[in-house]
Amino acid sequence: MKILVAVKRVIDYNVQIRVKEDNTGVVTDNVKMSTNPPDDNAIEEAVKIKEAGKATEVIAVSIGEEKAQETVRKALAVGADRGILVKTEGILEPLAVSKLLQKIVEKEKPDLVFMGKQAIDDDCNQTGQMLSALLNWPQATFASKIEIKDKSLEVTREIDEGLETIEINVPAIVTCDLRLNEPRYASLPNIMKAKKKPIEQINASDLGVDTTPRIEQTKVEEPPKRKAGIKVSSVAELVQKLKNEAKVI
Amino acid sequence: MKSKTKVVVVGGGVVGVSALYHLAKKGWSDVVLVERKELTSGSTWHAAGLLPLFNMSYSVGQLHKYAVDLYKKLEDETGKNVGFSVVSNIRLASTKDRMDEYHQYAGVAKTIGVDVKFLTPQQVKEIWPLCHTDDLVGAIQHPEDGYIQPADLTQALATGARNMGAEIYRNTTVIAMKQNKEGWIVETDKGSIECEHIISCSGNFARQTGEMVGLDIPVIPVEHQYIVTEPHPEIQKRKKEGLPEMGVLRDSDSRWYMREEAGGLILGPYEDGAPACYVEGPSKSSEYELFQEDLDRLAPHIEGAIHRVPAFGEVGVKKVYNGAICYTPDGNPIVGPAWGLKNFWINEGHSFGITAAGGAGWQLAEWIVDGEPTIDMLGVEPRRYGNYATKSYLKAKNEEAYSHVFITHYPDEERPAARPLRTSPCYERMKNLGAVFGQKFGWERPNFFATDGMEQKDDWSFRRSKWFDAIKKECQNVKENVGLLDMTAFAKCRIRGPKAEEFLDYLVANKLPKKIGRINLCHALNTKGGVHSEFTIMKEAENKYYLVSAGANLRLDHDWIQKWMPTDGSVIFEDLTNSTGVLVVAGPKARELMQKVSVDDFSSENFKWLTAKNVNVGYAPVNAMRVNFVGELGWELHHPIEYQNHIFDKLMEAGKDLGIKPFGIRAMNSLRLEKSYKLVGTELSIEYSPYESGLDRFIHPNKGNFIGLEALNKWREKGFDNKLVTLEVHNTTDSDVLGNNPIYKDDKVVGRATGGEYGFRLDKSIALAMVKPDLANVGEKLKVDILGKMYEATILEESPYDVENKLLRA
Amino acid sequence: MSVLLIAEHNNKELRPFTLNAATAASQIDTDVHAVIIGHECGEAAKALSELELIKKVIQVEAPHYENFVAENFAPVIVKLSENYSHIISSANTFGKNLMPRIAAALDTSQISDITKVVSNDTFLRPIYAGNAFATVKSKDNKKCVTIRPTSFDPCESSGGSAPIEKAEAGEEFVQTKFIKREEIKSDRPELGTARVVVSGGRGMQSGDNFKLITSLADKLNAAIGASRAAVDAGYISNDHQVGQTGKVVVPDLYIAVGISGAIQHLAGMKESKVIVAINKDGEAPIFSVADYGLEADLFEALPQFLEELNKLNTIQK
Repeated sequence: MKILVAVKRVIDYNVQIRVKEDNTGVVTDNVKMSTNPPDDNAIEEAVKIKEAGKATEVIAVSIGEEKAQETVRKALAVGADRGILVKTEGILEPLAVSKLLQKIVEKEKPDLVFMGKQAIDDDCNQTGQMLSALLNWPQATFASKIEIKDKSLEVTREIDEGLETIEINVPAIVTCDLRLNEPRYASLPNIMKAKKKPIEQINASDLGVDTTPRIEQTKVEEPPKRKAGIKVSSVAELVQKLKNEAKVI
Repeated sequence: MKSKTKVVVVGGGVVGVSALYHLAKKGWSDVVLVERKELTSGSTWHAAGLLPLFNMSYSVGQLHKYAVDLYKKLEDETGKNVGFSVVSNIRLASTKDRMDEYHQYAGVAKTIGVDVKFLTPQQVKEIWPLCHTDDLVGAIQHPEDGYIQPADLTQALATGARNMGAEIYRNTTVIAMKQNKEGWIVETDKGSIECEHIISCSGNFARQTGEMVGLDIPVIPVEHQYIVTEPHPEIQKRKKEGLPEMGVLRDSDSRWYMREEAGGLILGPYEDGAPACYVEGPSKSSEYELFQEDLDRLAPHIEGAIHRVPAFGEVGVKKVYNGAICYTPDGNPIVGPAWGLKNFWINEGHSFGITAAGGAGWQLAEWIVDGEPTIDMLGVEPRRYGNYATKSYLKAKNEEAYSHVFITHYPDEERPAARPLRTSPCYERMKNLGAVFGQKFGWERPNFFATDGMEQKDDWSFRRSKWFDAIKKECQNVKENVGLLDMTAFAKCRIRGPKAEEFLDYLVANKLPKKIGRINLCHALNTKGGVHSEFTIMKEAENKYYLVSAGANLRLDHDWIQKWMPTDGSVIFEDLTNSTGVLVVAGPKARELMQKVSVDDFSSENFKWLTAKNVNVGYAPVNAMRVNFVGELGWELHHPIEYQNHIFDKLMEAGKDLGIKPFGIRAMNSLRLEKSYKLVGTELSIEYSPYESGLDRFIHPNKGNFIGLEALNKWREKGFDNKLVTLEVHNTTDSDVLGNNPIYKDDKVVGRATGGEYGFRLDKSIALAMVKPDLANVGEKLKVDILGKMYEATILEESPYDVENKLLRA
Repeated sequence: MSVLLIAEHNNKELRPFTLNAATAASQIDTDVHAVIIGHECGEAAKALSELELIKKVIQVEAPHYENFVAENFAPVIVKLSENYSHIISSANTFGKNLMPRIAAALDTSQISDITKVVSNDTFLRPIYAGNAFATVKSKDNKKCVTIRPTSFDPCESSGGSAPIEKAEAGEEFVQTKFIKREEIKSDRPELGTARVVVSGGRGMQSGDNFKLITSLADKLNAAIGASRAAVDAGYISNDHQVGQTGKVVVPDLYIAVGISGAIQHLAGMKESKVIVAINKDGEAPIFSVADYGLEADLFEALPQFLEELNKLNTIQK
C-alpha cells in the first residue's frame, strides 16, 4: 500500500498570536513555524503502518511557499520515504488545496491519504473531506484508531457523543485526531539523513488548478481581552462563582 | 505606582530584578522596577539556566562566583526554591592548547578563590559514563556550579526585593526618560516617576532604552539555539537507581554545552553563522518570543555531540529553542555608569545573564549607594567601547563574539571582524614594513613586525610562538639603535580655563607640573583611594594642560574628567584624540635621529627628561614630549594628524643609517616590564592603593585635598595587603608569565602576577606581581605557576633594566 | 435567497445544536427550510417542523441513512441545493464531517465555525484557536457555512408549523459502512483533552499530599496535572507535567494548587477558559492569569473545596 500524507506548515502552537496593527491579518514575519500538530499524528500513523509491513511507501506532500520544504523534511526525518512540495504563492483555501491534492493523488495513485483533521491556523477542518468528495472516495474523519484490514480500514472516530467506528474501503481518506497516536520525535541522525531524501518540487500553476480565493478576508481583530481576574475571599465564594458565573462546574 | 523614588530599574529580567534586590539589600528600600510585560518575558525565560564559573576575566570571574554563592542561599532567605542543581560542570579538552587555556584559567580561579579540579579522561568517564573519552587530553571540573531555573531564580529575587520594601510594576512600559535638576523623570504609560538614578536592564531593548537618553549602547543580541531531546532509557535508569545527575558537560573544542533535562539531554552549541537579531529592537508587542530553528548551521556541532555522547543521537528531538541572547563585541556584559550622563547606569549585554545577574546587581548597588564598586570592574566597563561601535560594527562583532564563546581564548588573540576600522595615516607604511596588526579601541596598531622572510601573520598561543623572535629583534634594535612606534591611539585632551589648574590639582594625587613645558605622571584616584586613571600631564600654559592616557581608556578617562569638572564653565575640556597623531622614537640613537630631522635643539642640556617643546620635524609642527614607556632615550612626537606621513617618512629616511626599525605593542610590553612600568587594569586598579602599586613618589598626600585622599589616608592607617614587585622567573623555556598567575611561597598562594613577558634587554623572563607586603623584599624567593608548572622566581629591584634611569635621562 | 438548514437528529428527536443553527440560519435570511435525512425519522421531522423559524421541512428517508454517513447525505443535499443560496449546519462533528463534501461538490469555498452573521455574505469566525477573529466575505454564488453553536441562542422549539415534504432518497455509498457508536464512559480523562484539570505544584510538599489533588479531581471528573517543580521533586510522574516541556492543555477549567506560575508552566495552561489559582503567596505570578484567585493555605482550602462541591452535588458529564 502506498500512503500519501499531507502536512501543513503553520505558526507554531506555542507562539503567542498577534494581530497586525492594521488589522489585515496575523503577524507571521519572523514568527516560529512548525508542522500542524495533527499532521504529525498523520505521519506517525503512516510510518507505523509501514513499519508493521502493511505499507510499502509513505510520501509526504506539502502545499505552500518554498519554506514549506522544512515541513516535508521533518516528515522525512520521522520515516516518510520521499516528499513533494507544491509551490504556491498567497492565500490558499481548502477548496484549492483539495484540488491540488487531487492532482497529486491522480499522479501518485496512493491507496490511502492521511492528514490532520484540522489546521491550527485557519481552523477550517475541510480539506480531507473535500478531497474525498472530489475523488469520490470514502472518508474517516477525526480518527483516533485505525486498523488495517485486507482491503479496508476499520476506523474509530472521535465524535461529540463519544466514539464511532466505521469501515471504509481502500482507497480512502483519513483525517487524524491528536488522540490517534504519540508522534515520535526525530533523532538527529535521522534529521541529518533526511536531507538526502528527495523532495520533488512542483509549481502549482503547472497542475492546471484555479487557486483564486473566493473568500475575502476584510478584517482580522483580536478577541475580546481576557478579563482581569479577581481574588475571592473564601472557598465557598470560589465554588459559587465557578458554578453561577463561569458556569464550568 | 510611586511618583517619586530613589532608583528606577528599567527591565524585569533576572538582571533587573537582581539589581533591585541588591539595592534593597544595601538599605535602599525606596526603589522600584518597571517591566513592560511580565518578569522574565524577554530572554530570561528561555535561558538554559547554566551557571558557568569559568571566565578568563578577573572581573567577570568574581561576579560569577558571588552569584553562585548567593543563589545557594536564596531559598533560605526568601522561601522560594530556585531549582539550583549543583551538579558540577566539566569542561573537556581535546588539544594541548585547550589544556593551556584551562591552566591559565585555573590560575585566575586560584586567585579569586574558585575551586577547580583537573580531571583525567578516566575520571570524566566515571562522572559521565555516557561520554566518549578516548580522544580527550584532559578536563577541568568546577564542583560548585551547575544549573538553575531562571524563572524561579527571578521570582525568588523578586520576593526578596519585595520583602525588603522594593516595588515592582509589571505591564508598565517606559516611554521616555528626561533629566531634571535632581536627577531623572521616567515617563511610563501608567504615569511618571521622579528618581535620582536609573539602571537600564532592558536586555534585547538595550539600544532602544539608550536612544531615549542619547546613548549608543553597544549591545545587539544574537540567536542562540538549544536542542531538547526526549528521555533516554539510560538516563532514566540512572535516576531510578538513585545515581547522581551527570552534571553540565562542555566540550570546548566542539563548542557546545550539554546537560540532563527531564530524563533526556539538552545540547547548546555556539556555532559559526548565528545571525544578530532584533537589530532595530524587538517589536512593541514582543514577549516570550522564539525564532525559527536552523539545525543546518548546527550540523558540525551536532555531529561533535553525537561523537562525544552517542546517546544524544539515539533519541528524538523534542523541541529546539531559538531565542535571543544579548551580546557585546567582546562577549562580556556592560555594567557600570553611562558616559556623559550623571546617575544613569547600564546593566546590559549579558550573554551569561543568569550567572552574571547576581554579581552585576551586587556591584552596581555598591557603586550607586557607596559611590564606588569594590572589585575592579574594567572587564565589564560600559566605557570600554567608543563611538566607533556603530550598529553595523556591533552586528559584525557581536556575531563574532558569539561564535567565539568556546573558541580558545588566546591571550594574544586579535579577532578579525570589522577590521581594519580606524587606521592612523601611517598604517599602510607600517603594513609594508611587515606589521602584523591588532586593534585597541577600534584603532589598528602594529603588534609586531614580520621581517626576514617571516610570514606576515599572527600566531596565537599561551606559550612563546612565532612572534617571540620577531619582538626579540625589535627590542634589541631599540636597545642598540632606535625604534619607531605608532601610539596614535593614545587618548589625548586639553583642559583649560580659569579653574583648570585648581580642578586638575583636585583630580590627581601628584603635584601638577609647575613650569610651562614640564611633564608629570599623575594618577586620578577614586573616592575610595584606589587608582582609577593614569595621565601624563604637560603644562602648555597657565591654566592650560595637555593630558595623555591609554587609548583603551579614552571614554573611561574622559568621562571621569568630565563628571568631576565644575559645570559653571570655568574649566573647558577638549578631546584631541582623533586630531593628534603620536609617533615614538626610542633608543640610544634617538637624539641623533631627531637632530637630523629637526632644526630644533634636542641636546641633553636644552631638552631635559619630562619636558616638552614645540619643534619642527621636517616641515611639520610637533609637540615633542621627552617621555616614553620603554625606558630609553626617546621622545613622543605629538603632531596634528595630517602631518603624520610626512614625519614618518622623514624619520625613516633619516634613520636609515642609524638602524631605525619600527616596533610594535608586544615589544613595547616587554620593554616596559623591564622598567617595572605599570598599566591601568593590571598593576594599577581601584582594588589597589597607589602605594601598593609602587606609585609612592607620584602621590603627595600633603599637597592639599584631592579625590580619594581621605580614604587613602584611612587605608594607610589600616594597612596594605599587597605590594607590587618585579620578578625574574627562572628556567623558562617555552612560556612566560601572562598575568593572573598565582604566586606561591611554601605551597601557599601569596599573590598574583599582573603581567609578564621575556625581557630581551635583560635576557631574563620578567613578571610584575602583587604579593603580600612582608614578602616584597628584593632577593625573596617565590614560585609562580605558569600553565600548571611551577617555576622558581626571585624578586628584583624595581626597574631592573637601567635601574638608575641613566639611559632615558641621557 | 432561501437558506437550507441541515438538521442533526437521532431519528427520534432533534439534537440540541440544530436549534442554534436555526437561529443562525434565520439571521442570514428568514426563509429557512430544513432538510432531515434519516431512517424512520418522522418524529424528529415533526419536531423540526415545530421550530418557529423553519418555513418548510424536507424529509428524506432510507435505511442507509440511519447512521448519518456523510457520503450518503452529501449527494442528497447537493441535489436539493439547487433552490438555495445558503446551506447551513452546526459546526459540531456531524456538520464538520458532512459540509465540506457538499461544498466540494458545489465547487464553493466553505466558511467554517462562524460566530456572527454580519450580512448574508459576510461572517465573523475565529482563527488560530480563537486568538484572532476574521471577518470574511464570500464571493461564491452558493455558500456553505457551519456555525459555532455556542455563539447563537437556540431558537424556540415550538410555535412553528412548517409543512413536511418528502424528497427522493439517493443511492447508498457502499464503500463506507457504519459499525457502531459508543457513549464515552469517563474513567479519569486524559490530561491533554480533559475538560477540567486540577494541578498540584511544589506547594503540595509531598507525593503523599497529592491525594488531595486526586480527591478533587475525582469529584470534578478532572485530569490531574502538575508543575515541573512538583515533578522534579518526585511528587508525581512526569506524564502529568503541564508546561512548556510537558503538556499544553486548554480545558474549560484549570485549577492550579500550590503552583507559583513560572512562565514555563503558564505556557502550558494559560489558554484555559477559566483559571483558578490557590496559593498562599499573594504575589505569585499565577494570580496574574487566574480568573479567580484564592490566597489561602491549600491544606485548608482543598478539603473545604471538596465540602462545597459535595454540597452542590455536582457530577460532571
